[in-house]
Amino acid sequence: MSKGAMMGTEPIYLIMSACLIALGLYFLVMSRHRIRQLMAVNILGSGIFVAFVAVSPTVDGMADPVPQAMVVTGIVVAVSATALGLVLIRRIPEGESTDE
Amino acid sequence: VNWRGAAKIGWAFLVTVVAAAVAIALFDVAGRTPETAGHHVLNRLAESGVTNPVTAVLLNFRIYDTFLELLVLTAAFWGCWSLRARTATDLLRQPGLLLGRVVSIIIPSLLVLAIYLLWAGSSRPGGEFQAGAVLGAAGILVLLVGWAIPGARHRLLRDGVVVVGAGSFLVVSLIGWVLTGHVFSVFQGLEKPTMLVIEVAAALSIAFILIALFAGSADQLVATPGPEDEQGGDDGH
Repeated sequence: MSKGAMMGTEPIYLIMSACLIALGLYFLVMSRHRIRQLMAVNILGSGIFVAFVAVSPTVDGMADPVPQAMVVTGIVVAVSATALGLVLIRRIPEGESTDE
Repeated sequence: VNWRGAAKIGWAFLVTVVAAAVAIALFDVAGRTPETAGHHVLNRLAESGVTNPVTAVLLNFRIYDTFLELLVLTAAFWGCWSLRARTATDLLRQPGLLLGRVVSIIIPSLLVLAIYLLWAGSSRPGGEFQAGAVLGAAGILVLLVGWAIPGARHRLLRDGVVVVGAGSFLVVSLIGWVLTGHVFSVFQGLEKPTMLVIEVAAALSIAFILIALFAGSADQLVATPGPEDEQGGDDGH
């Protein structure tokens, strides 16, 4: 029905989101510092947000509003979860590292 | 043998494979155009009371999501404040003359921008999240300069602003339930005013919670740090 919804969106966004997901996964496992791990989760989440918006086809020539609304919701949830995570990290006594 | 180095290389390799798989899957999905929910939104946009489809989804068609999201924000706020650090690092309390002047010019323009975004949300990109984010940024600027958030000293007011967003959703849902038998049915003919009330309340809550999450505790929201019981070091290390 919509001629705007042809072969996918811009491929750069799809590649970008795969890269963000990979970066997030890599540093989530490889970082020793908890704040870095939290940042890695955020980057991973951003990759998923980008993927969600980029993958959804256009509706009648404009962006599908449902994924956009859900990603806006997701961003706010991610921000609040990050804040809570940071507070939790601060409460962990110094010198108690994640490994070793 | 450098095990950590080997693990890094191995994990990097695995992650690259995962990224490639994700990219292939995304390209595959992006090529298809299923009948998405967006079609229903656009088809019935006239019933929603606003002309911006994203706002229609957030405040009407999927209002439940937005309500739950405000609950998440509120929960995060209470979690952060109840876990506040024992040793609070004081923010900068002595702004220079220039900094103070510049910020006192920026703050009013941010307020105007937030109100504009809130109002624009019905027909253009904007809405309560954007307005709340701008208001929250203004508040964080105020904190960084070392001023007080107006009214933050009063606990009742603070708690009220925190819950007013989720509370307005609840009230609307209950009224809709009583009147029509359907929870979260936004009233016919009164969609726009109802949404406006929810939007203003939600923007206030979002803005304050963002500021509060940044501040971390009530002490940080007021300018003059009194002699708080922040000795720290009582956990013995």
